[in-house]
Amino acid sequence: MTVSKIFRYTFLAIINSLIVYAIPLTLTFESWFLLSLIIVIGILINLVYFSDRFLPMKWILPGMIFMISFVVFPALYNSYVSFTNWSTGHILTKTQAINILEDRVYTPENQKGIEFEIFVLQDSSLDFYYVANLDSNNILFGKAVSDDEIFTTSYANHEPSLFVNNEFVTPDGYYLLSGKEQIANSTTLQDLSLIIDESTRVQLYKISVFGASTGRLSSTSQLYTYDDLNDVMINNADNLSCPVVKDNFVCDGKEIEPGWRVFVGGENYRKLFSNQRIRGPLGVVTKWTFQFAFLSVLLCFVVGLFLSMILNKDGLKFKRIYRAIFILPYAIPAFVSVLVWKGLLNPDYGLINSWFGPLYEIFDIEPIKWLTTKESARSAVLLVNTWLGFPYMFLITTGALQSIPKELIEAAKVDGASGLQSFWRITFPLLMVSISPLLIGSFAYNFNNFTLIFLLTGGGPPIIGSDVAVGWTDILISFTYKLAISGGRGNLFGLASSVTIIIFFIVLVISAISFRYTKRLERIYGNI
Amino acid sequence: METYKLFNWFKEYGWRHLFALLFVIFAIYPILFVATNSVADFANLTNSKLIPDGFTLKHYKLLSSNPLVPYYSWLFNTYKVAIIAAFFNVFLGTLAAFAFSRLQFRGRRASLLTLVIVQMFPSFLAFVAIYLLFFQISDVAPIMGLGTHFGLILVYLGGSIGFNSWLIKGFMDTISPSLDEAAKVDGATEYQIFSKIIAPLARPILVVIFVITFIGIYSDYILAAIFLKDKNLWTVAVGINTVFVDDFNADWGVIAASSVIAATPIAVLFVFFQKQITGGLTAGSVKG
Amino acid sequence: MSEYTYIYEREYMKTNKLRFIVILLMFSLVAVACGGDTADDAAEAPETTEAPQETLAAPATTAPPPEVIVVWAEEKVATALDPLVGAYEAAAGVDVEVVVYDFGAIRTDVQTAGPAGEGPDVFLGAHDWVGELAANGVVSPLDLGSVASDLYDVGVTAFSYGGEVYGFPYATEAIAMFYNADLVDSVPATWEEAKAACDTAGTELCVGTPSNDAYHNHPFVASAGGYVFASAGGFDASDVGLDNAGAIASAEYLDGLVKNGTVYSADYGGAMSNFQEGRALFWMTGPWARGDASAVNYGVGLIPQFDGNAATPFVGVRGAMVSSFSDKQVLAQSFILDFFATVEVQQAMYESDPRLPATKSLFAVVEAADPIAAVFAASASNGIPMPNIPEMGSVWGPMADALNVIREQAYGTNEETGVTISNATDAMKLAAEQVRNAIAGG
Repeated sequence: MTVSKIFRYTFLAIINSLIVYAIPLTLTFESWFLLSLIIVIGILINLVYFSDRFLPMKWILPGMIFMISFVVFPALYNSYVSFTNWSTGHILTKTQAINILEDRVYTPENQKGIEFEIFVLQDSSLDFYYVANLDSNNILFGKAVSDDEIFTTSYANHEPSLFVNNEFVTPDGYYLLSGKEQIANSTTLQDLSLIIDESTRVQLYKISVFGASTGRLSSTSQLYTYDDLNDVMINNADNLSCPVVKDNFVCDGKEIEPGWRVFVGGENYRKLFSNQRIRGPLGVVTKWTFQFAFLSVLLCFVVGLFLSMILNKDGLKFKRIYRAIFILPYAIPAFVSVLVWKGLLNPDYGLINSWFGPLYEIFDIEPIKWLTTKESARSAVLLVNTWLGFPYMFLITTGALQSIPKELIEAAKVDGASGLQSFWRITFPLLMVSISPLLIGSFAYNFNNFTLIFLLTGGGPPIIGSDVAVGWTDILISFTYKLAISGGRGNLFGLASSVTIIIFFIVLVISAISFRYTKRLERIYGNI
Repeated sequence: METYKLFNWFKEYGWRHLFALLFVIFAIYPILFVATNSVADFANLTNSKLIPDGFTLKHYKLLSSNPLVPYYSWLFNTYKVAIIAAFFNVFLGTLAAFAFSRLQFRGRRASLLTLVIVQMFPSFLAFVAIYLLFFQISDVAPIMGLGTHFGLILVYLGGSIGFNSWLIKGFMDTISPSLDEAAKVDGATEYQIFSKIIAPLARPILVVIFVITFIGIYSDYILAAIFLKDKNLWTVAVGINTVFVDDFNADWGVIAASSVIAATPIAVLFVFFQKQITGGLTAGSVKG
Repeated sequence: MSEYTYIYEREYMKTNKLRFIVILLMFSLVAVACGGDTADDAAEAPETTEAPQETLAAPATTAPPPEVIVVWAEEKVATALDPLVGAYEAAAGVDVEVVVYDFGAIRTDVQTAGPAGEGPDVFLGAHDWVGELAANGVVSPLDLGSVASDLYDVGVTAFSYGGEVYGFPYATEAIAMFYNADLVDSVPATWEEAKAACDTAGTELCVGTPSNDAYHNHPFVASAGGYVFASAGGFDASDVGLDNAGAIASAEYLDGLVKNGTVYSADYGGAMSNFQEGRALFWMTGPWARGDASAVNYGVGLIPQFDGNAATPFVGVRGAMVSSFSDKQVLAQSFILDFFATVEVQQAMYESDPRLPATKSLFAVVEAADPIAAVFAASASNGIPMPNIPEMGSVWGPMADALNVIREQAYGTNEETGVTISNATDAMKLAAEQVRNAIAGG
């Protein structure tokens, strides 16, 4: 027991030291969300493993940590993000944005690109001296000093005598460094300057091993300085004072990037529901998401049930082979099947259009531009999803049909019911009892069937005129993905999160409906 | 007489064969097509057909020789991520399931209900928040930040552990409590009951859950696409759906070959575990 | 009864071991969840140094340890540089360590390895990284000085950001126009003549290029004075030129070209197969397609002019940059300007990886050896670099949509959005408005 105690306390000590180590880091990066996550998990671990009061939790907590960290917390965080302006240009905190701006430098226009020969000398005490040959009136000579000596050293002198017939002559008492020697000293030399006047200096810029080295004038200085008393950014180049406007500093009416993220209240939701160029497409997408999920379930169910019915016949040959083949589409990962279907559906050289070729000619119609028009793309999505999904329905309806007692149907027959009648009156209702929760599950799955939509059509073709990236086959989740990640219109994390919240609510409703079947679900779970 | 017999046969069986064959074609055509095209000796999609004129392995060779398409790295990454994540999933899920199934504690029913509710929401729904969360983790602990397999594995763990605990718990409930009660009388500790009795008896379900989780992660696109930016770290799902889409026509043979390699192991696993997986699927876990 | 007790006694140690393992597993999982420094250092090294596969370097020989310049380059360029650095090493008394790196990984890894002191001094990358790298303080300004006179403006503009230049451009890439040399001798100078050439040749289709693609269609909006962002000393996101007079004039001109059948509707693969099979006379795309184009006897010419203005394709540029984390700034600059920029090095890199030359001196060499590459280079020198600022992320979508409407003649009112696009002018105005809104965060 003591051994295990030692383990336990060492383990807790290590965990806690890691937490103590991580907390200041999250503070530095202002990752408040991460900080709260670490604290919550830290408290849970200590509570559960320090005391003996939460014994069962010792078993559950390891798995729960992951669920809390990557499912529950993100969901909460998602709600928070939906109330911020988090998007391209506004992904930093204000402090981070200020730090980046204060790191920016500028070189006055009149000093840019000026390049001249520079000679590096060394005297007997191994101090470095520069001769900068700006032009014949400015052959400047002086000691090269480091930054902390700038204000104590004297300005460089014009020394025309150093050039005779345009040839540099090394003054007495100095040694002229070759390119190679300059390179050997380059880490020292790069910090030295020859001071010309109070704002201008000469720095070694390029050491040439093939010719003379070059220098340049430099007065590179900080472009922006933050004035935290007045909360304004000062632009030193133009001497402008740039006040804060919402989430950016604004100089002379021009926003300077980057801005930072701020809490914007319900602005994202307002945007979703008030701007017609977003509201319209959102309506299209929401409607299509329901249509797509419903039609997918319906088509797969009809095909699957039909197939299981025709195979549900004693004495039918090749039953096993048929079954094995009908399951195959389900065994292929969707990301592969969708790729193959994309090839088959290609309007220019896909096989589907070559099959339809004769039809097109007979009826003298333009070949269907699969995936590129609204109707063709939507039909293609449904076609492919039927292919992907009917095996599942086939499997579950086969199982359900076999579990329906044959005597019931026989009895109906005896009572004079036709095949169709007994199907609708007996088989189908019994089937639905066991299958309807699965249909709801399938609906919920297709409601968020990102892989199919995104890989087959990318949501396209685009809905023209909308202010966000959106297409006619987009479902809510792929719409969210395009808003946040890949729409070619920047990363609108805030707006995307607010759409996610809508999805959350819809899923909640679907779940509530399926909860009515919880008892049955439990039975099914138990039977595996 | 003969015609009548034939007619009768058709009425009883024939039409069934007819429709079954029709759907056999529908089901199997794309699969056959990609399989034959992966070894077909033609250049592109334009002149592809079901039965190729010549056979070649050049597409498969291209997959291993093109440095711009590190296909086998993708494959390796996929297996690595899926195996590690599935293993820990089952491991941690089993621990939790044991507590739910065998230990009595306050809040047990509430926790179980929470699990069920949470698993209704696919973990990728909150992908924006996950992305931004890992954006911050990248600052604090870069080894598990965005772009790393480590971070991706963590997310996969969070996504399915609740559901898996639930499934495993269901199975453990069917193990007769008399076994562990007897052990308890003998003074066995919880841990001993778990490791000596329950876990070994639950092995069949653990294998199935492992396979289901493995297939689910192997087939995931959205989280992997968000997480992995470096081409060498991609999974197969991200890789083949990213590099080939620009020049679909010309790359068709290679697309077919890479599809076959990516799909075959999963298809084999699936057929092998078909009964059990469908059982798990009925509960809506992987796809459907 | 006793059986159990026996087993437990025997298994006691084992059990503890198991518990230990469980705790260890948990520890390792939770340790990283909280960001441990020890775990960090141990595991980060393989993460960031995974990409460099081999090191091409000469051993140090001089007595005082020579300065080492670490260069990250993709494989082909590294292979070309490796035999040449010896000369520089000898002349400068330094060690040049050329590290072969996956091109895409350079972008991310300079940002992570740099602060850790494991980054390069010099790295080669694409110009559209510059906005991100400069904003994050990863790359140092590079005053090109006298070397600038050998460079095409497009390359320098590409590496400009916020008034400073951040790299020495060594290769460019841009689209031009393939023609079927069996049916026509050259690409005519104007679009009218191109149409006439198609009529004469009698091909079914004339000029193919993807409809829904801002990159390929850029010349159609930017050749007569239109632009995405104004670019003087760096791109200015507040100055969007997709709806200025020049952009609208050339978009309307494109509308005419679509209406009279000069430019036909296609996707990338469609334009390619039509050209390969001789159905289309011209194909507007980049040098990467030379292999695909060789299905027919092809030539390449400049994209026809718009109203007397040379066509301006989007240009991608690659260049050498100095990491701001390097403690050898002057040496790194010197390496680029004094050695890397020389025509000998440029030519060797071109021979290893024939991208289009960015220097005039190399262009002169290439022109003689590979006239077709020279045509692409000339096309690039007329072009506009793809903006390197992050705001470009908000442009691709609206710009592609607008051009797609014109290319597909999909004019009309969209009931869902309430937007009416009745002509090319409307399309460009909408695109510009959407870009402005997106940048303003509205």
